[in-house]
Amino acid sequence: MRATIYGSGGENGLGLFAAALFNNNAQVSILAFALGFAFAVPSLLLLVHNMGGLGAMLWLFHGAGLLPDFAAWLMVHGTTELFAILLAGAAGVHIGRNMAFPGELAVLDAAAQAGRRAAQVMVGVVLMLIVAALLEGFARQLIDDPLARAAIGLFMLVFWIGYLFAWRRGVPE
Amino acid sequence: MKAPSFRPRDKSSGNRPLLDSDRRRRSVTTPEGIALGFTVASRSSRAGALMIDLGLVFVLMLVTTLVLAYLLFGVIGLPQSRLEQSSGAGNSALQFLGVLWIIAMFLFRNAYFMWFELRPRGATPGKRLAGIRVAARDGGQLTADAVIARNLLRDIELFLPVMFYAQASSEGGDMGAATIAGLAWVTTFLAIPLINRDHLRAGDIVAGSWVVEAPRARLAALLVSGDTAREGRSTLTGARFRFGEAELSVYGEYELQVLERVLRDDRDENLAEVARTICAKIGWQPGLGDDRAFLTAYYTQLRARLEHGMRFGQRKPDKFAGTG
Repeated sequence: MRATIYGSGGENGLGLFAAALFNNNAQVSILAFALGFAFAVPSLLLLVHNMGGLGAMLWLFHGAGLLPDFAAWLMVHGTTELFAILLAGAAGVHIGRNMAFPGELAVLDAAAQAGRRAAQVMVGVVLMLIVAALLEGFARQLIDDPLARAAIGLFMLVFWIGYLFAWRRGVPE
Repeated sequence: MKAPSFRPRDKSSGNRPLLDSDRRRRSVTTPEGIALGFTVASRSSRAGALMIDLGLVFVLMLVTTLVLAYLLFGVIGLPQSRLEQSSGAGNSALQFLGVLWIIAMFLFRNAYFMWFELRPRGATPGKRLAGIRVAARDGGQLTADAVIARNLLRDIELFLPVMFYAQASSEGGDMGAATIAGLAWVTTFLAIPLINRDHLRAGDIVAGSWVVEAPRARLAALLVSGDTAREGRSTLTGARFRFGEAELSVYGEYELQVLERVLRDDRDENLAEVARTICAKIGWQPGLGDDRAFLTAYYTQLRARLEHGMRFGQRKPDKFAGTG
């Protein structure tokens, strides 16, 4: 089990790995976004399903006493990747919520407004996923020290939160 | 956002059956307050466009895969001894091809429709062939957000059941259940454009877009045509009228429209009067014999000059405006 976290793969096949990961993650986040159309219920189910898988993995590694190492291994790219997938899910929920509770607008107008706003988020999500795939494909495989991995992951988390929240433009009403 | 007003075109002749193309007419008030007429694309033309596009995507994917496979066999086909010597190089070449393939497939699947619809034409090659295009439902600009939203939804409308189906077949899942689920899925999303008036699919609803007819535009026939217009030659006297920059720059769009009206009315005394005025203004000698030819030539050349200016963003609304 330790071998799966440390030194797996060496330096071979990293580019391929990164591309495949990006492809997979992008499809999951597109799915999370698009399923928002069905009043966001499937988006939430998809997120719960994926987070359930993550929890199971955490439990498994905790049983083997490798929880901190696993967390560090995951954090390298996970802070970026999970953040992006959560944003995609949020975009989907935004659409679903506006279709279910359109407020003053007609349902079609509310859906259109929410959809356009959420699509903007999706462009950012795809960019974040490219960064995540590069981190996952290269940084994680080349760096073996759990502390260094955690540092990268935390740095990315701080970077994204800072980028998305500290310098955000005024929220349109 | 202003809700578009949906109403079929008024039919004064009551007993004539409503044509399908009339039923698909819509009038939208744009954000600028202009009533704009649209004809919603028929379901059949949209289905046809989609089939052409999917066929194109399939061919593109196939060709890319074959080319990459050809390159791959080129790498594998190297003499065994050389490959062993440089296994690192061979391996990274393999990897590079793999990365290319994954990225190409991702782009064909997700970016093909977006790329074409984001361009000014707002239509994929299939849509262009079918004579339709994507437009914003509120009559405003078709934004990038809308195109992205409507095409991300395409992923669950079309490709998701195929993906589940492939997964079930490759992992030995229950194929019968996968077929039923896939069919139910496709039917649900297919039903959406069938049950609403404007033929909106799920992606259109979320993006605030619709697909409308975009017949190939033909330039409206010119008011004046023939020798007089092209050459500025009078058929009566054989004289040729050529106006210079200074002579054309004295008038603007308003005067052009007045001149057009005079030419349409075609009354001799008006023609003579206007010809005299213009001659005085540009410093020509009046009494050229053929007022109509003179005015036609002036109209054509003034119009060409103003249209040329407009293409470069310089308008001259009337004669009082700057040199434009």
